[in-house]
Formats: sequence, structure tokens, C-alpha cells
Amino acid sequence: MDSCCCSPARGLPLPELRLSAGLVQWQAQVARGRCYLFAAPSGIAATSLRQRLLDGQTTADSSLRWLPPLANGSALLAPGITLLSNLQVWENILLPQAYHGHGLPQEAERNLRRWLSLLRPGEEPSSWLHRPVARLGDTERRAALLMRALMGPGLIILLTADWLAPLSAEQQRVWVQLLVAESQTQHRSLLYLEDTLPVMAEAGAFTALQWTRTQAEGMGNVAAA
Amino acid sequence: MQIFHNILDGLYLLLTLPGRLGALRRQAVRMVLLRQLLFTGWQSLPMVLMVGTAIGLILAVQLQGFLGGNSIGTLKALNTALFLELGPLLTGIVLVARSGSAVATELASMRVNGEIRTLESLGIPVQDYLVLPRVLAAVLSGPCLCLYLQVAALGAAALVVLANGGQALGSVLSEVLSVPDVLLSMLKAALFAGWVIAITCTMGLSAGFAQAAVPVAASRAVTVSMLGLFALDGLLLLFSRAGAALA
Repeated sequence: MDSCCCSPARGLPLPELRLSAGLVQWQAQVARGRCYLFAAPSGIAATSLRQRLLDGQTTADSSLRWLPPLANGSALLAPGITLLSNLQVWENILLPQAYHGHGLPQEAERNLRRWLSLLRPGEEPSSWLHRPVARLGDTERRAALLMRALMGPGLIILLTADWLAPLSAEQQRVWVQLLVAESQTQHRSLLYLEDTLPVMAEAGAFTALQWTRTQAEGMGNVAAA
Repeated sequence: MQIFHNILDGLYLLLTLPGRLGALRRQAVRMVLLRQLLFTGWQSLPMVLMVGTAIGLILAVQLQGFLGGNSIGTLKALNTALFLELGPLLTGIVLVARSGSAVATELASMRVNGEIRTLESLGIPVQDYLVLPRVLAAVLSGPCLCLYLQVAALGAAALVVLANGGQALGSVLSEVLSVPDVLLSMLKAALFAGWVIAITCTMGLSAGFAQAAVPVAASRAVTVSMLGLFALDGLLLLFSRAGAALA
């Protein structure tokens, strides 16, 4: 747990990642296709950290300040990140792809059907995808958010434990496995706060991965798997 | 003072939009533009036609009485009023009432619900995805709506003139209609439409985060954009008169 995560395991290294939220700052080099754990630096509680980064009005500006360096729109799976209410489900899921113009439509459709069969088993794809967002339940919204994150062009997906909390244990396991597997297939990075660790471990996401941990320039703890 | 700032924010937004036209290369932005064209340009049509017809009827009846049944005088006066002032102004008012309030409410709701933050987190600039298509749709729809309004008003006025035993419609219209006036009024309508929707976008995006901020933003957007519309019309009139005096 003490080696540095700065040497990319595979693929090209991303630009140096700088996270800044009020008093909190990290600096680390992120490699594609790896999982990173961001732990709260000493003296700052995890809840405070999450509040600063992700929650609500008072932290909106500071959280956005560190988003651009996360390379072309990272995907956040965190409270406060929502679907667009004036679009249907499929439009929401494909929005990042339609805007950034990456990927092939056929591949997107194939992936969408596969993910839907895992996340919403027994659901008829076309009727679900054409629903307005207002008619979705909480779990369905989260499924759409997860698919949008997987469909997006961002190289990094950030996951928080409280986003996963409303799901059943079985759903958490299946969803996290899908997230980890797809992130690695697509050579993207998966970032998550420290309190997500039990869920990730429960899902068996780390069994084949070797953990390392580093103190990045003395400003924060970063772990990579 | 705050209203003045809001109006200037709208002006700044309008002036900086040409630099963002490159975003139209993106499919997602074009889809929003098409929806906005449908909403602002097409679905406003019945309202614009009704307003135009009503204005044409009212003005023609009043002018006929005032001018003693002079049909050419009636249509000339109506033409001057419609193509130089009323057409673009009424189109702007219709756009504020219908599209402006809807745009401000929609953007304020998106801000309250965290959708604006979501877009930014996805690397989608709000100005490109939300503001550009709305303002551009207004700029494109405004001249067409203005023309429909003027045609409806002139048609209604012509019917009043004919009903009162006026001259043959075709000869009267060919005498009073002027192409430069029509083009000038369309240009003004485009400017007014872009201006008011830019102001409402600014107001919607600057709403607070509480649910109560949505109706406040919508109300302020309508008020400020209406004031901005009249202020711009007044300024244009002032400049055109000053230009004519200097010439």
C-alpha cells in the first residue's frame, strides 16, 4: 500500500490531475483503465470532503473547479448529478456521446442493450428507453445515470458510496462489477471516495487487482488498484 | 440598477453568441435548435396570427373612422405603423410572453434541480447546449413570425376596407407595401427576438437554488426583457431620427 501510482499500468498517461476544493488539494498522475481511491487528507473528515466536492449549493463552484482537468467531461455517479428532465431516457444516456461525437451508433446500441439486460433484467428496452425522466423510479434513474456514465467520453468515472446506498446488496454487486469491468474494457479510470471501499470489496471488484497507495506530494492520499 | 445589469448581461450574451456558432457542428446542439425552432417558430404561429388579425381589425376600424373612410390612407397609416414599429414590437412581446417565460422557467428549474451542474460535469458547456439554440431559434423565428403578424394584420385591415366599400385590394396593397420596409421590420424583429430571449436565458441561469427561485426568475425575466425590448425600440427610433436629421 505504499508505492506510488504515478506510473501508468497501461495505455497513455492522462495529464496531471489536480483536484482542488477549498483547503483540499491533490496532485497525482492518473493512468487509464485503473481504479483510484481518494481518501480524505488528514484533518479533513470524509463527509466534509464529499460536501466540498459534490454536494449542493455551497460546494457547487468549488466542485466544478476541479472537473475540467479530469479530461473532457468525467462522469460523476454522486448525489446531485441528475438526468435532464426535458429529455427522454435514451436521449439522456446518449447525450454525452451525441455532444462529444465519439463512438459508433451501432456499438452504442449494442452496449446499451447489454447493460440494460444487466441493470434492468426483464425490462422491455424500447419502452423503457422512450420514457420521460419524470416517470422513472429512483433505481431506474440510477440505472440511466450509470449507463450515461459508461456511454460518455470521459476517461474518469467518479463513484460515491451514498449514490450506491439506496440500491439492494445484489444490485450494488452487479452494478459495481459492471462499472469496474466496463471501465477497464474502455481503458477509463474509476475514482471513488474511501467509504465506497466496502461496497467495492463486497462486489469482488478487487480480487484480481493489486493495491497500491501513495501520498501524492504530501497533499492527499491516493490509492490505485 | 439591477435591471440595467440584467439587460446588459443579455446584450453581452447576444454579442458573444456568434463566436459560439461552431457548436452547431454537434448533433446534440442541432437537435435542441430544431426543438426550439418548433417551439418558438411554429407553435407560436397561432398566437401571432390571432394578435396580428386583432390588431389589423382594431386599427383599421379606428383609422377608417378617423380618416373618413379613406381606404388608401387607412392602409398607408397601418403599413407605416406595422412595418416600422408595431410588427417587430408585437412579435417581441409575443415572444417574451410565450417563449421567454418558458425559457426562463425551464433554465431556472434546471439550475434548481442540479441539471446545469450535471451538464458541466459531462463537459457540455451550458452556453453552447442550452443558450445558443434558444437564442438562435428566436433570431431565426422572429422575422418569420413578424412577417406572419404583419400579413395577418394587413389582411384583416384590407377586409375592413373592402367591407366599407374601399378600392380593389390588390391595387391598394401594391401601392402601400414597400420591400425595404418589410426587410427592415424583419431585421428589427430578429434583433428584438434575440435580445429578449438572451435576457430571459440570463435570468433563468442566474436563478437561485431554492424551488421558490423558479417563479421569481420567470417573473423577473418577463419584466426585464419587456423593459429591454421597449428600451431597445426607443433607442433605435432615436438613432434613426437622429440619422435622418443629420442626413
